[in-house]
Amino acid sequence: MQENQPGGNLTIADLADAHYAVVYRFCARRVGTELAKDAAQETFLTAQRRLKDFRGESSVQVWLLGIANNHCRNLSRKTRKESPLMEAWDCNDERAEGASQIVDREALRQALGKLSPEHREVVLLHEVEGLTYEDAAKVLDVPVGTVKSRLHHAFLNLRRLLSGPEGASA
Amino acid sequence: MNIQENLKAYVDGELTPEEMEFMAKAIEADPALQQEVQFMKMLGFEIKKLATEPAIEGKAELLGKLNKPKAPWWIRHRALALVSCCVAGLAMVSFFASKVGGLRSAQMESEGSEMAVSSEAKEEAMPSADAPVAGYMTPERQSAGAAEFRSRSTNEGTANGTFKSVSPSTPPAGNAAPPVDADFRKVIRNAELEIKVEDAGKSLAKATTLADSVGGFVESSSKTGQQGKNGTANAVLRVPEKQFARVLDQLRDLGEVVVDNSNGDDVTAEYVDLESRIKVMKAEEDSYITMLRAARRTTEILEIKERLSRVRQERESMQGQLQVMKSQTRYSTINLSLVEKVTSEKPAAPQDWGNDTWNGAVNGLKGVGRFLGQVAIFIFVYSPIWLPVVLLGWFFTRKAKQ
Repeated sequence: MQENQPGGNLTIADLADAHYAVVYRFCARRVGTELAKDAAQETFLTAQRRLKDFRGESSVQVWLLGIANNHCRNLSRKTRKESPLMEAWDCNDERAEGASQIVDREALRQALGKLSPEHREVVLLHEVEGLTYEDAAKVLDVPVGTVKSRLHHAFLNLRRLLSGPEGASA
Repeated sequence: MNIQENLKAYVDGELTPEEMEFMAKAIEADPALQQEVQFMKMLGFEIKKLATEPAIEGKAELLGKLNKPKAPWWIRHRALALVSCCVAGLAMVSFFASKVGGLRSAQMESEGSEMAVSSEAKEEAMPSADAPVAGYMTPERQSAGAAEFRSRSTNEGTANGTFKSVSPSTPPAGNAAPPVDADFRKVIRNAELEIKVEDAGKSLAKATTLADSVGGFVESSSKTGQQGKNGTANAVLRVPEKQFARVLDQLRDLGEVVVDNSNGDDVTAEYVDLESRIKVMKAEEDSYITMLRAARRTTEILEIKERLSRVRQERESMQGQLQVMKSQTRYSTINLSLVEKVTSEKPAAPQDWGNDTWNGAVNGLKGVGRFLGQVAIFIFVYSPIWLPVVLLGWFFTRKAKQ
């Protein structure tokens, strides 16, 4: 088994054990639960081959998410399934019970589904996965300014979509 | 600084401290911006809550795959390995085929030149030829006997100056060697040499000097044409039998050997027979002389004289034959033809090392190109065999990956 150079003695099995859940959930949100397993497994098999090239310029998680993002893009392209229709985004989540709602959850789910793939990617990485702009930029392999701009426009679009006749509930 | 564009970054805390301070002041002064900030915070919160936590699947399966020992590369890339093996095999076959062909042609070339030099040595090394003699001789005499027992061996030059053996050097079956001392053997040796030389006259003089130096002589010689104009010279050299091989070797050094024939005829049996018959004749002759002295009657004397005369003629004839045979066996005959090289051919100008290197490199490149072409043709021709195998390998590899 190959060793993770910056990490010292970390093996790909260790990385998979530690980060599989994060990668799997990211894939599920990107391409749906149906393809998430394949995408996540393919991510770690790719990581196994590229582990010797990992320089430690970002965290392992960001590096893995970058690989996963590429696989998800390829899967979306192959299956011609641009949007998983936010199947992994549950509008009936129990956690929402009791929380103050300024938007209709179903409307928000549909609005997210109407975003362009680039905007949805950046919203997912920052708002859901909690990555900073810099880490999101590394995952997407774009400049930080692009992430900032995409997020700004994504929120403008969401606001516009939610301000429509069906969107606003507040 | 565009406040609207940086509002989301402000909410996320992704601005520099100075920008954050600037944005905070602007938002504080503008209620619409405050509402916008509030909306963005709530929207982000709602998005995060909207994302589910799907049940994790396939982790154990992945860990099993990752912990599986890595197959060797030739298993993982078996199709590539198969093609590589085929190509390598074809390359090796073509390489060895070309090598064997080259060796054969080189052997053919060297055979001619070596044949002239080593024909005598070869005959000595052939036990089958010497077998009948070997049982009756000492080791020293075996080699001498083998040399004497040499029979016909013919080397003929071809157009490109190479030689091929026309007949193997084995003693004739009829001349099965009787148990005779090797020193007593009587062998008539003849050789025919045609040599291309620069100057036929000078070479003829050398050959004459050579024959004289070994105690031989020139039986006849002739010269036609002018020096430098395709002149030729012919000579019949008679050299002592023991010097025959040495003289031949030295004559071959005169130039480029075109024809090189030599043969030996063992006449020991005939020689011994002749000697015996002469002795018998002599004894008969002596008895007739004694009878003649004792004869009294005329008719008896006439009859004895007639018989004596017949026996004497026969004996003298046999003695003549014996003398010829002695001469032939004592002096071997070499028919030498000296042909001048065609002078119209201009000698190739010596090339410098740069040209040699260049030509060598170009020839090498041509060889490599020829080799690659051969490999490509082999691969193409054999594609009905290896292509289905490769495709099947690729198909099953893909299947296994899926």
